[in-house]
Amino acid sequence: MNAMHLMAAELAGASGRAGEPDWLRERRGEGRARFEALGWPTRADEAWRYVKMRELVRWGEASAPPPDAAAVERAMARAGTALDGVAARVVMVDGVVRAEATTRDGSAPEVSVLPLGEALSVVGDHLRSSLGRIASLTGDGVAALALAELGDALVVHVPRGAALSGALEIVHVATGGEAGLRFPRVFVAVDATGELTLIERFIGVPEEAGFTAATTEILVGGDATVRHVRLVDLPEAALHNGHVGVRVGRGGSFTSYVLSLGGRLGRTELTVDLAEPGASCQLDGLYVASGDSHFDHATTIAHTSPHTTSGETYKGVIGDAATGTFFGRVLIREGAVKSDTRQLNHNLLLSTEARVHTRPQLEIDNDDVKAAHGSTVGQLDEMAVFYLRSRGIDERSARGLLTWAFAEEMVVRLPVPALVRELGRVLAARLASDASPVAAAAIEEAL
Amino acid sequence: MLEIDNLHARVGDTPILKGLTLTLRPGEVAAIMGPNGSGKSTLSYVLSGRPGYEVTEGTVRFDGQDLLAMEADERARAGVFLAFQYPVEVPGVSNKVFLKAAVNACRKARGQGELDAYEFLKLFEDKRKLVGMGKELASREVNSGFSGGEKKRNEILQMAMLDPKLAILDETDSGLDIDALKAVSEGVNALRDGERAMLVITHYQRLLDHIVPDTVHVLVDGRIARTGGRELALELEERGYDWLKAEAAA
Repeated sequence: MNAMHLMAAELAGASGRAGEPDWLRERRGEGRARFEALGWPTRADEAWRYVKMRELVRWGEASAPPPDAAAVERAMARAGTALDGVAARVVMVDGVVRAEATTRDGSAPEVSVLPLGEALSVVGDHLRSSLGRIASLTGDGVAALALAELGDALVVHVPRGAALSGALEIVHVATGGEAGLRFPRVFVAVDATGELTLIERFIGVPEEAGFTAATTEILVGGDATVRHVRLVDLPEAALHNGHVGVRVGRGGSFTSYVLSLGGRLGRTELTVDLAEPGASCQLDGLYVASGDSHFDHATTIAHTSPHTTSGETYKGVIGDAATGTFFGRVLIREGAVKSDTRQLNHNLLLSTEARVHTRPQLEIDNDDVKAAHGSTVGQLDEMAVFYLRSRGIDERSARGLLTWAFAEEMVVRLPVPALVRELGRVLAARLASDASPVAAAAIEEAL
Repeated sequence: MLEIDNLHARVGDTPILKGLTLTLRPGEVAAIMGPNGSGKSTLSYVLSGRPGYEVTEGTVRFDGQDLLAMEADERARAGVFLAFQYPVEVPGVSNKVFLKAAVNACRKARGQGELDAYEFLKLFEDKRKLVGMGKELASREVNSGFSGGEKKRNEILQMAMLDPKLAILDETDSGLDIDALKAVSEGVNALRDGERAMLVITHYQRLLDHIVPDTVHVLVDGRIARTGGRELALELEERGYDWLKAEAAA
């Protein structure tokens, strides 16, 4: 870091925003200090091993300047409308909550969905104890930088026993730009026996690039249920790095659905701490990469308490000269007896230039556990392609249909039916291509 | 309907068909019998257009068209159907989705209208009963976890749905117990209509007790060694294939 950068960084860390509590300013300072200590990740870091770091560091180490009114308008036009089954919807442009676009039905008014400034007085205790500490201060340099540069954030609080009538959808739109990073941040606390389905959608303005480093922190309370859909479908030049940090309390249940569909580089780093007895998680993922895209997934599941259960299934469809990466660690700590984990990663390569790196990894510090893991890399079954063709289905459609068949299970398990239909159509168009109405119709039929 | 003339084909570097000549009239049911390795399955794959089966010499005309110039899926749409010896499992694709795509691709190519959801299901139900498959078949994944008998019945169901001009049945009897053999044969016989031609490929004459052929051809070392009527199959049952192999070698 050069002297100019350092000075700017110190200023940002120290200045804070008017009227905010001291702890928040200090938290930014902790993020800054951690970033100074860690710096950018390098390819020596296992989770970043296949990422071309040069492409990332050229964006600098500070926030991009705020978008102008025209850029915000273009971004808002991309935000679309709510899906069926969505009870509340928030649009964030470059990490800033656009209050004018927030919609919400009348259900569960005790559930708060607020920008950070307003949330401080409502859920200050949760924020003070946990903001930045679930993901940023346990993550790598990029996560720390996101905390150092913390500006706006969306804060969601579901009090004990509460639930919205449907999902909460957060649409993150990136405006693009040529320098600096965007740091959208979401903080979610679901108290005991509460329930939440959260859909986070990362999209951008076509033709724009930009680098987004997003953070989502989720506290799952005792016997609470949280489902988190994280959908990254950015324009082809855009870069995205996401950190998701989750802590699951006693008997709580967390389900994650990570979908990497678009962008030049898309990384999602997901860390789940099964922190109390009986906590469980299921992590599902699907990456569909084409062109020269690189989609990278690093997950860590930490079984730190007894009787904790985890499952993980990631599937990748890699075409053209694209790259897919899955690095999944499961840690079972010494005291986490009677833990159970099952981890799978399956990849389908559609071309000879496509690359996949898969590395499931178990680190077990006690004997009284059940653990299984495995990964596969394969191609379409040519005999199945011939079988379909021998029934009159053209080759392109046959390949599209078989590729869809591989990916399908990850789509149909999404928790919101309207999202299943939407993604089915998106994938039908991409996997089967426009030239294959037969496969598209068949996929439509299957949904 | 089908004229095969001096067909030579190889798989990799191995020549398998070595000058096979055969004709089939509309409505004719011809059995192709022969010992293991004589080229029976290769013939079925060459006719249906499986990649990797290279024709080095000879011609095949189907309904006046050059069959060998067509892609596998074009042949299917033109009316060639292969009932596989080992039907392929296609996990993740339901029978209904698969068959509707196939039926409508074929109907479209033949200038018939595509079936809507209701028409399709009605046809499916009719044909399902013909081969004695359960109602849940539509939603099951294609051949996935099917028993041997179910797979072969599913082939005949597909044949009934796609209404081909030429059906090639490759060892449809292999792996079937007697009840499944009867059910499959009844399905095939119901599709004999005086127009549709069939090539019934089998190692054993047992299948021909149920699907009675008009003609029997014996394939030895990539060529038709003998052609006769029904009685030829019975003679083979008595005498085995060795005398024909000896004749062919001489």
